[in-house]
Order: sequence, then structure tokens, then C-alpha cells
Amino acid sequence: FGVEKKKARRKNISLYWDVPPAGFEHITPLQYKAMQAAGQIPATLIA
Amino acid sequence: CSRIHNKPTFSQTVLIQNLYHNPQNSAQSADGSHLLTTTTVGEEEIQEHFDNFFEDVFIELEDKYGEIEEMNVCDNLGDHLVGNVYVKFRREEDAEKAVADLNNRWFAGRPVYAELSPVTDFREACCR
Repeated sequence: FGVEKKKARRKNISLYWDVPPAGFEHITPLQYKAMQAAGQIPATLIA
Repeated sequence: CSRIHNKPTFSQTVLIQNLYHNPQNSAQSADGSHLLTTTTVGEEEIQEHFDNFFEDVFIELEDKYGEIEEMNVCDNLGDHLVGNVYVKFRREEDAEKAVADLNNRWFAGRPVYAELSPVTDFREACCR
């Protein structure tokens, strides 16, 4: 069943995961959220 | 949500807020940040987009954090719960680990907002 499990695994790189917002590549998501909480950058827009 | 939600200390279920962006919703986004190049989005494309999203998230979470029992995505077009993803792990430890790590990751150009959720049975779930 080990083979079966392997098949389901990722074949290519994700389009979404670990893609930072443009211009914020140098900070961590935690820092980003702290900046939002402090009002330095706008909160994430819903949809 | 306007209701009071108590966040549990331990849970198998992780809530990731507003992770899924329905292309129909995005096409209407006022700031234009998710504007699509096509003006009309076909149903097939939406389904394909959703399937890709689901697979991408599911595989990543199971690979990194542990076995998943159930995963649900709120694919509504209203404000309430929009794009929320609920992931029920087999083990509480995995859920805890996932929340801690996810909160320091990006997804599609946005920070991930993850927390533990009290929901264990999705058929019974409603805001209280």
C-alpha cells in the first residue's frame, strides 16, 4: 500500500502555498499579521 | 461571524479562514487584485479551479501535518464563512501542529489565518 500512497503525492509545485504578497517577500506571515494588527498595512481583503 | 465562538484548546479540527477564493467572487473584487483575465467564468472552469485548490490543500496538509479524516470547503458567494476551510485530522496533535505552522505561512499571496475549531460533525455544524 506504500506505492498507492506515493501516487497521490504532489507531482508538481503548488500554485498557492508559500506565495507571499508582492513586496512582502522579506517578512514572515506572522510579522505581516502583526503589522496589520498595528494598522501599518490594511487588513486582508475578504474575497 | 457575529456570533460568539469559543475557541477550543484541543480539537482535531482546524479552521483556515477565507482560504478558498471562488473565481466568481474574485472577479467582482473591488480592488481588482484577483481580477481574472477572462470576463466570464464558465462552470467547468470553476469546478476545475476548485478541484485544483482542494487537491493542492489536501495533499499539502496531509503531507506536512498528518492524516486527514475530513476536509470541507465553504464555497458560498456570501460574506458569511466565505472560503473557510475546515480540516479534521485524525489526531489532535496534528491539528495543533498544523495551526501553529500554518499561521506562519503564505497562501496565494496572503497570510494564512488558522485556528482550532470545535466542529467535529459537519452535518451538525452551525453558528451558535
